[in-house]
Amino acid sequence: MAVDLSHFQESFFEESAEHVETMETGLLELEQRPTDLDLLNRIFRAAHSIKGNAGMFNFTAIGGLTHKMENILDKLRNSQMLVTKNIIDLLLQALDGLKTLLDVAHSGDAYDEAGIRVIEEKLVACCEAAPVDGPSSPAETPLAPAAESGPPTSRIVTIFWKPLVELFQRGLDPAQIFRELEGFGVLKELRVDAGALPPLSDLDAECCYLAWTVLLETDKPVKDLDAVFDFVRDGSELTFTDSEAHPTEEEGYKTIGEILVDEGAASPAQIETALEKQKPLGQILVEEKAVSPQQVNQALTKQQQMKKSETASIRVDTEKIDKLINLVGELVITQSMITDLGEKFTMNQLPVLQERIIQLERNTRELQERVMSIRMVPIGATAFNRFPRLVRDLASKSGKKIQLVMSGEDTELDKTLIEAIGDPLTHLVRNSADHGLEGPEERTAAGKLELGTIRLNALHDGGNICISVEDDGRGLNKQKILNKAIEKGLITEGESLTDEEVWLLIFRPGFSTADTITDISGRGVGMDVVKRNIEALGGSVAIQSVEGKGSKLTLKLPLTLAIIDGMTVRVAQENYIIPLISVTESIRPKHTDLQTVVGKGEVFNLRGEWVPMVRLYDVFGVQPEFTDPAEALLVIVESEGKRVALFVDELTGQQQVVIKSLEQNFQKIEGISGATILGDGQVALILDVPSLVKLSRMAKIEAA
Amino acid sequence: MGKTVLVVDDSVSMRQMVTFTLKGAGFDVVEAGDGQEAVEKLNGGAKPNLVITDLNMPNMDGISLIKAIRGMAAHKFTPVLMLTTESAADKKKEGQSAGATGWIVKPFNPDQMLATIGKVLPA
Repeated sequence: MAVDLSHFQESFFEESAEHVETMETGLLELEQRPTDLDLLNRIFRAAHSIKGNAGMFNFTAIGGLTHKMENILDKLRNSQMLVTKNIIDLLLQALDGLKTLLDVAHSGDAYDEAGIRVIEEKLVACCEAAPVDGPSSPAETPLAPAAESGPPTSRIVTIFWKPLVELFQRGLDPAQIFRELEGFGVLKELRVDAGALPPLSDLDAECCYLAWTVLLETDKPVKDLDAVFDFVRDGSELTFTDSEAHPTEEEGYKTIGEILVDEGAASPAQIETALEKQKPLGQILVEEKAVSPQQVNQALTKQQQMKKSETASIRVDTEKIDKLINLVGELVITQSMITDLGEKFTMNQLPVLQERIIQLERNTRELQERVMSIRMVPIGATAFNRFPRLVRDLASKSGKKIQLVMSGEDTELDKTLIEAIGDPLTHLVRNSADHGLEGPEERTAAGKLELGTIRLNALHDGGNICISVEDDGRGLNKQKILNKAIEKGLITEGESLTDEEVWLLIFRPGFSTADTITDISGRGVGMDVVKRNIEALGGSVAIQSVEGKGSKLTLKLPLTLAIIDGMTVRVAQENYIIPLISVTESIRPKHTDLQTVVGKGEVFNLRGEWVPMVRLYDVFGVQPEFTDPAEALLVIVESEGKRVALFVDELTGQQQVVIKSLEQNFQKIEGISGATILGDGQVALILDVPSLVKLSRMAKIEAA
Repeated sequence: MGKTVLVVDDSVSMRQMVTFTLKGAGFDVVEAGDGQEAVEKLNGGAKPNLVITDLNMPNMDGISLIKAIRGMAAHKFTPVLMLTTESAADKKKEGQSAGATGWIVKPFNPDQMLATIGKVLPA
């Protein structure tokens, strides 16, 4: 039976990634608790699994490297070696190599073989440096001498077998052995020797006291027959007597080259030169002028790309799926109940109908929640897991002492979000380690512990998730930021800004206060990119900072990108959705609170603060019911700390809406982030609050 | 009625592969993620004709599982094949003295696995 194992490669890679992660976190923990045997065993097991599975899929390079790592881990857990920082460093380095190998095995790319070899050599050297007490495993028990050769002709082989007494207790069945022998030829005779049978009183029915002599007519070599007894050889008495033993070499498969050399038709050197003449298909075609080198290169690139197209997959707890199936079952029942009711409906059954519709609604909502939860993954195992290693590397590179404290790892969020926040978070952690935390001397001088702390925290806050990166370093330097901002022309001297506004300056493109660009930070990705990425996800970034005490950056993100809580508003005959997250309040204004300011357009006095007013009907070009704000309503929305009052005719409700992309089906429209379908089948546009806020500011500039 | 094999391995890909091969060969398959789960399934009424188990597993390893199986009245004579990466004799010895019927050395191909099963399970 030929089985294509490549179906299972995807799982192999997924699983290996998990094992690599286990090893990585394990090694980092091991550094703290070098004598933790359970931990060592866990790391060892992960390495062992990768090795074993890699062998199954023929990834020899992966197996080879892991094997060498495993050797060291084995010595560590057998206390033949002690856990030192050097060994952890080496193992982590090897782990990086392993990750590379897994990546290239997945993508089919080329890799730095020499680099891997260097790591392997280091691993071997490290392993050999340790004292060895004798060979770790005794050599294989050699096969019975008679098994070394076998004649291909048919003859009688006599086999004597006295099995071990515990035969049955190991789940073995002598009959099975004879059946297998029968597959090799004809069983001429089977004699039972019951001489060892004890008196009945001493007989243990679960033991085997018998011995057998088998006469088998076969043309198979004794080696094959011997293999039948593989599982019973230890503890058994076993002899083969071959009536005609002719030592002949077994003919195996040979390459043409080998056969030619054997027959003296060619010398090994000739074969070698001939083999070297073999060329890749592309090269031959180019030489024959059948295709151009460019075409070959294009084809190769195309091939590479095909290899790279991976399917993204997600692992879901079977429990979650079981619950889903249950819910779908309930949904089907409710639906059939309603169908049934509909067939013979009379008006007096209205309450029953309503009740069933409520039930349907409950089922649907629960189903929706469950389906959404499939995409939800805990942040700790997916986005946070890279940081212990990162912080360790950053600390050793910069010579600082840094501890990383993580909390809220169980907080779940949408898988796509996890992927999207990875880079921004990494940037923030790097920033904290590099700019935020001081070196040991500076910390001691400031009366702080030498050991700096970076805290990563995640928590749910309503329909949002807040992720914060906090350090107890030097904090943001207000004066330095102001100077830089003036130098860059972002603000004018003498402009009075609140702390909050000052901190927001660091999000401006091209803004960096680092005096020196180090290896760690300053790679051209600035805070502006972080902010842009987070805002693209519908989130926001906030900064708190106290000079000399540290700073805290908080990312606030929606839990999922597919469904939002929205407020439905009506402007003229059109419905619009305002994401609830950006709505702060709605107000019916008095005429006295409204003014037209030159250069700022219409503004509304919100308890002393003047906020620009945006007439939505102007933006979208519709005929409103009201043009006087005092008759209509103002919805105050906030984005990036700036408030805007949106002029609407009426608030119609609040509901969860499923976002349908406009861009995918139509095109991007300023001020609109998407569309949704309301309960009555009408399409409503979802307002893009940040872009509306921007529009309102642009309007100001135009007016000026 | 088809024969049932209990496959015990903590590695999902291994389990998938073994199961796929076994099902292709007409076996019914029950899976367990570690020794403990296997014991629960066996105590819970699973009656496999054969057990295939990995050795290195969390919670309960293969050797302990084999010992446990040999201690169960209902399963003490059930053939147990262990999956082992070590061709080293010490693991095999340990398995045999625990009561393993035989072993399959990783890496193996599906045909090899089926051939080994054929050694301990009547067709």
